[in-house]
Amino acid sequence: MTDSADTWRDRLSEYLDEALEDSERSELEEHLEGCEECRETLVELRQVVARAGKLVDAPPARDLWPEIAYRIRETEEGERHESRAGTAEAGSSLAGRHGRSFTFSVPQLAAAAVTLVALSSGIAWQIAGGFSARQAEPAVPVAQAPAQTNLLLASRIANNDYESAIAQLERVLNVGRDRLDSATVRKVEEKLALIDKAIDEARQALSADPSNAYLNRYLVGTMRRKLDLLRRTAALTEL
Amino acid sequence: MVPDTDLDSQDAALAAEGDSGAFERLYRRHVARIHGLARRMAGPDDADELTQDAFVRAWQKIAQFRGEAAFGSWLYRVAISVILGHRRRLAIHRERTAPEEWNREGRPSHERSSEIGMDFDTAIERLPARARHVFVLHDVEGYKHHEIARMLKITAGTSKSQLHRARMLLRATLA
Amino acid sequence: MNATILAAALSTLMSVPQETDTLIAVPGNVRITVEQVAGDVTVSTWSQNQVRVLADHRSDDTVDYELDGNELSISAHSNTGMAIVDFELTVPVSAAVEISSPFADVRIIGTQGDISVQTVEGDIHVEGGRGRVDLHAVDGDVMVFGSEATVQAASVDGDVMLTDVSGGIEAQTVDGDVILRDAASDNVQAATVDGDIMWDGDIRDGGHYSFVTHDGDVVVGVQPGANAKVSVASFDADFEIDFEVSLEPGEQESKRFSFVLGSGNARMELESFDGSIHLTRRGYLAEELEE
Repeated sequence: MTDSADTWRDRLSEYLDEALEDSERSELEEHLEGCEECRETLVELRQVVARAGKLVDAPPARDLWPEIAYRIRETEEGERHESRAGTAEAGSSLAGRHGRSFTFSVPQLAAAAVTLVALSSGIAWQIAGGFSARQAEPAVPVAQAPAQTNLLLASRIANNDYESAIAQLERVLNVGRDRLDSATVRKVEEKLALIDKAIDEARQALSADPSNAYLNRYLVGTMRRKLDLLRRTAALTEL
Repeated sequence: MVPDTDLDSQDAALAAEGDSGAFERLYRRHVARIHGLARRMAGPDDADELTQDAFVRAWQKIAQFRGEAAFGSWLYRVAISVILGHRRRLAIHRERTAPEEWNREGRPSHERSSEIGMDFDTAIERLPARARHVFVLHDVEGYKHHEIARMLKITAGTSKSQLHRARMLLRATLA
Repeated sequence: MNATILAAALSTLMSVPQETDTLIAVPGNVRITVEQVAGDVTVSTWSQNQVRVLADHRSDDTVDYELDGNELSISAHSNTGMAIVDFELTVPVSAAVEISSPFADVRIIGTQGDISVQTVEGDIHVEGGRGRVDLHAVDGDVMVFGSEATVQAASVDGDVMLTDVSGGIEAQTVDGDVILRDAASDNVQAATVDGDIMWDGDIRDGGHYSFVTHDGDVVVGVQPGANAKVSVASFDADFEIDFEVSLEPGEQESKRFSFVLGSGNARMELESFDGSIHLTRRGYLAEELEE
């Protein structure tokens, strides 16, 4: 094939779709008269396009509805649950289901995230406060670490408040998750698992060495990171 | 007999009021098309899940459907956005793990292009991702290059060249 | 376009056909917000008190503008599903910019006001910024170059890379590296769970620097003559230092210790649960990148 045949062959689809300028079209037609290969290619391309237009859509091999129905119900129930909890005043006054997807999430998720911060205190505040709290209240330098008993107590308090904070945020996210892209949800879950693994490792290390100030502080820091990720994800449902 | 589009409008209105039975009827009427789209765009392995994601998303957004377009086209847009969200994730993953062998020279490897007797749908599934998406959206679904360019975040020129590439590759299955 | 007509047109919502080029007269201290579901956003600057919006979109998508005082809101909507609009904005240098587009690459070049960007999937690239720069991505890299702002940059699955930043830095990701190069900040917090932390910059007297990873390395390059009290802590990490230091008196263990560089004026915390910690000379990153 000559170079020019190659060049024109690359334009055959545009020719077929009537997307060429008049001058180009005439040139290509001129080329076609003398190039059998391009003529054949054009015929084949036409057949491909024709077949694409005749494709038949077969239903999926298994019935996908039951799972869809389940997920829909789950969303609805999550919302009713939230409504009962009294956090949906803003949405409830709106007509029917029309406000469902939006009015529900925006203020409430934000509010829930704020509540979490307000809920916590002491060391738990350090966890829940996320990154900015961390800046305001810098990590305790190793050399000035408080006594072991204080640390253990602190981490127990932190654990209790933390667990309830995490549980709350997870509930909020469960309601909001369908507003997020499923790939995003999977991604966040994957990264949460990564943090959970880090938390587990820190806990294990700490149980072997309970007086380790670094591990205590590190565990708290990593738990805070999880909370922070949950909070950021909750905020995403507002986008 | 009432045409499907009218049935769709009625059911969409009911679904927007929370009638899941009406939404199931919409599902039954459209699932084959949406599943076909998902299968051709994303491959058979993910088609079921993406179809479910698309319908769940449609349920959540159905209040936004104002009946100005046909329900089918609206549902289609919703499904495409779900599928493309999935696609972008995969694309990013692929870029980070290994370069796609197809992209280097813009040419197919032999095994993919020359399998004889493969059915047309299977051949589409085996196209390189970008060429496949453009082909499905343009030749199967009838979108224009400038629309495809925006959906896939490519230029209209790339859309055209990928379409041509896809068609050229698919010639091999005509025999 | 006549400014009076423009002002009148903009006082209400305005719908625009596809591929539009719109010019909007704004005050110099304008705050611009862009909200949409998907589509890339690029912002650059000019010396005029106008915002130029090039919007590339489908005919069934609409772009709405609303100017209220110094607040300009730009949003994209679709009647038929997801609006996908690519925006190219040219804005006054002093403009503040706030962008929220879940599926988007966002690029902001040269603005000198506050910047706030939220994406789910897509990279964020910012050059410039004063005041506060807050950037959040879930699946994407976050990059900042040459900023005097206090920068908060966060991703979940992606790298955070800040170059030549002189304000405070909070940089974090979960699965990715945090790379801070040529920074002159005196308050730096960098953290990741699965990734490396790299710092190559000056340590300023009185500053506070915290670098924390779980499963990755912490590599810190400081200038000769840096003054800092350095605390190193790990569960199971190796430590390496390229110059001589003397350990602080008192309790020192192999995995937890502290030492002083120079007058010890700044405070540095280097922590890796399960990786290596390496304190080296400034400039190592440039050398690594050149290799």
